[in-house]
Amino acid sequence: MVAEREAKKKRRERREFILLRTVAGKEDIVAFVIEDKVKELLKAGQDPGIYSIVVPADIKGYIVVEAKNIHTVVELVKGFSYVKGRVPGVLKLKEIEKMVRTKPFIELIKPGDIVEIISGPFRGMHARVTDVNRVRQEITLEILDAAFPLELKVPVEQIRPVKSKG
Amino acid sequence: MSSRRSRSKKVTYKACTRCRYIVPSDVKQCPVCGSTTFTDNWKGMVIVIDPEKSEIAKIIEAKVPGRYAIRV
Ligand SMILES: [Zn+2]
Repeated sequence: MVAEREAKKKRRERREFILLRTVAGKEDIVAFVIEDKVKELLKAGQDPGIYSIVVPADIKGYIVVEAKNIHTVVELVKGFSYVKGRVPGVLKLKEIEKMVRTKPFIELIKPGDIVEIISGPFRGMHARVTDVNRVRQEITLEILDAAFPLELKVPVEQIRPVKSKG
Repeated sequence: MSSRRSRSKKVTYKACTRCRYIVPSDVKQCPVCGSTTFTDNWKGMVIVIDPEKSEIAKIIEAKVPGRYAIRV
């Protein structure tokens, strides 16, 4: 009975989602450094209780650390100049869900969007999306830098969004 | 000046289009799902340290520790 209760307690451990402010553009590096530090501690037999780190796709200058307690995270990043501080309060799991729930890239592309072609013979050129084929994972484009109207179909991996039509 | 190479931006990373696992660009096959299709076009990242204990790992269905792209 007691063991069972203990096991349950363990599974429902305390969890905080801590929002750290970083220097813009250094989000990845801060996340990598925290990852490294946690791994080092784990290797040394210490568990800092940090379970994951999120670098949001759409918010610059912030990362989220999922941890057992706030204090450990604050201690861990102390003195790291790319970290500008902690945003008071903690995030709710619902908010995190929105942040990490993934949408296939193709679903974010729509006719009228401006994209850059990142591979193939038209690499580096800008184009306007005229059609999106979700089944074939193909985008129809109208090249903007061409001297005459030029339409082509490319796999979705070959483009990068530049400007959304909104 | 130190000759140690900084890991920032020198190593480029790509994401598996099937499971979103992030690997250095010279990797040929995804170590998690075995796929050979990758994209350089990814945004946002979740670093899973402990997939057993992480609530976020459960949301993104990550069972292996490592880095996952949020959007591919
Ligand atoms: Zn994969």
